[in-house]
Amino acid sequence: MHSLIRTGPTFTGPRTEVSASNLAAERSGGADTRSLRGLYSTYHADVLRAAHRITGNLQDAEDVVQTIFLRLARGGADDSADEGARSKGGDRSDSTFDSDRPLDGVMNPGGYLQRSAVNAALDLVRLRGRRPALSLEVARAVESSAESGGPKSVDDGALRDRLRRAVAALHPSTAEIFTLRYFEGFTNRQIADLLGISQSSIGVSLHRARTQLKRALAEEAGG
Amino acid sequence: MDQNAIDRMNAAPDEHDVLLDRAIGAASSDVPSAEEIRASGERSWTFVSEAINAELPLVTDADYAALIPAYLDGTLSAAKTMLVADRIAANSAFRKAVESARNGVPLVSARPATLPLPLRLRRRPVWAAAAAAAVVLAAGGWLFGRDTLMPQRILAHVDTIDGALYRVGDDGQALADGAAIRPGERLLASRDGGAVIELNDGSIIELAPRSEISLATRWNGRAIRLNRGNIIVQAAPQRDGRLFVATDECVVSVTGTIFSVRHGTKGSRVAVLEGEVRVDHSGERTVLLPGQQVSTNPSLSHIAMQDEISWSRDQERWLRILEELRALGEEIDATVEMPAPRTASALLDAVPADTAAFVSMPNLSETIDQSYSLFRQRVAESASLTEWWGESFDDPEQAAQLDSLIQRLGSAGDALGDEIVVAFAFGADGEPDMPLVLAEMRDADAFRAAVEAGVAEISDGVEGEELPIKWIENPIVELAELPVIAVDAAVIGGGETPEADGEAAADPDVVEEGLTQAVGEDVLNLWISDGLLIASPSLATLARLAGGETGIDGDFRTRIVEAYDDGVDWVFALDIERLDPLHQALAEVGAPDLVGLSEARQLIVTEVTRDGRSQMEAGLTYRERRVGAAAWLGEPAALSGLEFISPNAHAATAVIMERPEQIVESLFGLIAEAEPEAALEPELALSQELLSDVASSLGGQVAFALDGPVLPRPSWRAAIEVYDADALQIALERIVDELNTSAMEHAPEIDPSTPPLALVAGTIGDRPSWSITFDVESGVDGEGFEFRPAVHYTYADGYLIAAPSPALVDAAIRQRDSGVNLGTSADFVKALPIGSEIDFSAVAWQNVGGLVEEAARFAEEQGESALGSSIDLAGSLGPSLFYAWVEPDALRFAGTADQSPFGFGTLFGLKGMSGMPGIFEEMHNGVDELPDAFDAGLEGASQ
Repeated sequence: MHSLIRTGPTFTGPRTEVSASNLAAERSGGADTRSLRGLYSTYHADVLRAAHRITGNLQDAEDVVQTIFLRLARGGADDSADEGARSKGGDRSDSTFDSDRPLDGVMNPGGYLQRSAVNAALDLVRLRGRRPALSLEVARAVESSAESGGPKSVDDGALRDRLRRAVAALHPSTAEIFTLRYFEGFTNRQIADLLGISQSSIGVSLHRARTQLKRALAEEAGG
Repeated sequence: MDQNAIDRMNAAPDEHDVLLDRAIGAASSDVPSAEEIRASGERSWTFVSEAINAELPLVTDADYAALIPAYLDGTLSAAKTMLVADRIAANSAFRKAVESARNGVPLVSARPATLPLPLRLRRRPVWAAAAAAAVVLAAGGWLFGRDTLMPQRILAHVDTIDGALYRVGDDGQALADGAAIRPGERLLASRDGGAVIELNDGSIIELAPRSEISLATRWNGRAIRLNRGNIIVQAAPQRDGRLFVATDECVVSVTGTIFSVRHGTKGSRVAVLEGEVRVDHSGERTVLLPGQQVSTNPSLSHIAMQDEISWSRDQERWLRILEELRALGEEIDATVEMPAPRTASALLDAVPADTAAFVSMPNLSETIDQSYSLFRQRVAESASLTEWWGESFDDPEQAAQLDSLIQRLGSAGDALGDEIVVAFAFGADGEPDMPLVLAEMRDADAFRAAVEAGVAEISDGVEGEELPIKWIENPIVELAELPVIAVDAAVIGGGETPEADGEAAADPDVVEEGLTQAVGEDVLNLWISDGLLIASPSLATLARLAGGETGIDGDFRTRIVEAYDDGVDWVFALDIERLDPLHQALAEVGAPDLVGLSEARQLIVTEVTRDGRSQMEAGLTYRERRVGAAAWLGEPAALSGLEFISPNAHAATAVIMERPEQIVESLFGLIAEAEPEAALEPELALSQELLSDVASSLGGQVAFALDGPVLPRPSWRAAIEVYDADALQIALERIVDELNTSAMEHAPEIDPSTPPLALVAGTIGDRPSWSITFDVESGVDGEGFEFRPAVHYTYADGYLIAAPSPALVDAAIRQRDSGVNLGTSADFVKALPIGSEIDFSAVAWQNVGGLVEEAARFAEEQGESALGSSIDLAGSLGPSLFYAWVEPDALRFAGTADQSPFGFGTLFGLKGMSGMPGIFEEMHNGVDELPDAFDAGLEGASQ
């Protein structure tokens, strides 16, 4: 629920750039891909999966889905998303928002929603991570799994939980880039377009993320 | 992370890559089944569509505003609660409205807007973080997300209750020891005893009887709201964020310290026992050190620390520690020698040729070393200090680590020369490079050994990352070896890189590593060359230096060399001409260029301490001649207006204006620029005409002083140089007429025989005089006694002398005749600058010590005795003097450094109470905390 606070999507383009052809190319979902209902039926599974990869449980992933589509229904952009929208020339004030077609003006609704999901989910994990009781519990679980053998013998479940915590501990923008790249399978180029930053910055961020994550995994494994 | 883990990682990188990739695979394949997705999809759509239906009437701001009461009561439906919470997060205006409704009063206003510096500092992680934090702060406000959505979260527990502690609200429930406290609950201590509450982070809040607080979390830390009463907070070291205490008037923020906050009808008062505390109120920020206080209301006087905490169970202990720390601070001041001022810089030739900002500071390692030894010695001798110091550390080993860190710092510092320079330059792309640190190297081997020992120790002992330091032999060679150069060329050349989805021709990890090293993000490169230590995170910057692009020249150099002439401790020099981003930012904001920055060339600020006296000097030079408000000041001359002011004045200012009419013109010009339509209004045109008449009859000098008894009503006097007294008198009479006419137009009920302004002729001594009396309602005091504020004035020796009573006008003239005045008084002359200037364009003087004394005397006469101790405080505030003088192409300021806008001295807390103990305490958290301390210092220095 904390995910309401942060925003993911900042990539919106001018409305005029949206054409029937790139809409059709976006998904084969047909004419309805721009209404809330249409967006929901087209993308909710993607959003849920993206959130699940990060949070690791269905309840939290579902919270993320609800948060994102509710925000979309309301007119989407909060302060910072607005900023991003304007910087891209797609000014979306409340007065022009069309709740029947919530993502008009967004060139890549799928990317937009996946990015929203990633950020909302990361926020949720960060929030959970701050609860001392929970992190203690997790730490014990990791300790006991680490005691049972070296890094190789850790089971996949424990390993991915560790990774999730380590990702959430990264700098938010680094975490976002890493998740889009390695969990969601975006290319560097696509991420650069989506975030409006250069590919070389993406490269640096990914490298840094990998270094930090390797260290974090090694650290836990080594006790 | 321990050394074994590092070794394992370095030894077998492949193994860790495999592990990471396995984890990534495991996480990305961890998705719900098709059936789970379908069921979840239905559940979520039901929720979302219901919420949308609930939202339908919520269209305007008013719709949302109407929900605030129900939202705060918790009676709103789940869907609407979520919508309101979402809007709180998204809309800062709404957030403020909710906060106002919650507290009945708005919180302290947001901080004043700052220049968009973050634009220029984007590439530096620490600075960027600080800048981002500032932006978020400026946006203002509390985030409710966590508290509103998780209202059952436990933030604290009751530790001890002396009388009774109530949860205010529907049932007024009395709490027991150990009771849990949740966000937003209002807790009230009974009149017969206080209570102690422990926050989850270990911070302790001690409530005085009849005090009420509530707790909350903010995006950047924990928050205590003091609704009324007095609390003492022992803040535990804050790991991620700060601890805030908010009252209606101010917000106090700390990272770990002990302080007291009192909030009552008249305002709030904050007093510090230990450490450092920031107080934001009325748009200003004050940094307090132990023993200092601040009040939000000027009429709320300071009281002795003993009285402020007299109700506390630990009173005696606090006072003992406070007293010992104060004595220690004084001892450090008295016995530890500061480095001698420097009269030249050898490093001017070593910084990059395109340096835009040059900061020179003394090598304080020896001073710090000596202060710390003295500090530890005194701590060891005192039982209470030993206990206090021990409490500052979770683990005794940390204290030993700090000892060792200071020792290493000392030996590294000893190997360097007496000056350390930080330079910022701009690269070919117009973007700022990473900063560069330079110092003369006296003993390279000793330095290297000390740094390596320090790094090993810190990496071994401190949780977290090892210190990223790299020794560079030849920056050019090492830069050329980086694979990034090839990639950069490709990026610049074709736009498209051969990279496909991260799989470049070269190993992408290597490429990324290269990029990082060249641009400089997370390694500090240390290069010892030609007897110099040169350090920068950017290898590219070092390479440019190695390529011979060194040495500042031209005017910028001349100005810096001049600045050193009289001896300096600190120098801050800025080549404004090189700051394109600054000029662009100013142009984008469209703010009127009041001081004429667009025409400015350099800003040089210096500070020097001699014989215990600190002096700050700042000079702003222009391309050809001064422009903007800087052009209003006249050439330095004898400030004869000061002759009308007594040596006992509490505050005084005297200014020489270039041409008063010019000021009127510029001011109205600014109005016309900002509001072109308003400028056409006949009333405004009339005002301009009248003020121009006044201005053109004036000479250039003006003096104003708070001089004479302040209570019950302040005595002030003004001396304004007049060239044409007849013309001025006619202009003033016209202004009074016009104001009366205008007032009566707006308020027809005014009797024309008693206009609001009355100009009456009379005599003072044997001189003709006039008085202007204001008939205003606010002049009626509580007793029903009506007093009519008045200005009495006469003309004497080319001056108009004005004061609130004929007696004061007469006193001003006699002051001048006596030859004894502020300008000749011993205190004033003593405060004049060390340099060679004789005359000034403007001065500002304060000696409020006497003012506070007078206030205390008055209070005692009125039977309010609690003020006695404030006299002690006033005694510590010596008089101070600021002065400005102009040259055809420059504007210069100077003054007491303690109160200078740059406050280099206070940056490291090496003066006065010496924030030394606080600094040492900050350092115990390890070097990872130092950037924060530095930022805090910078932030403090910029106040």
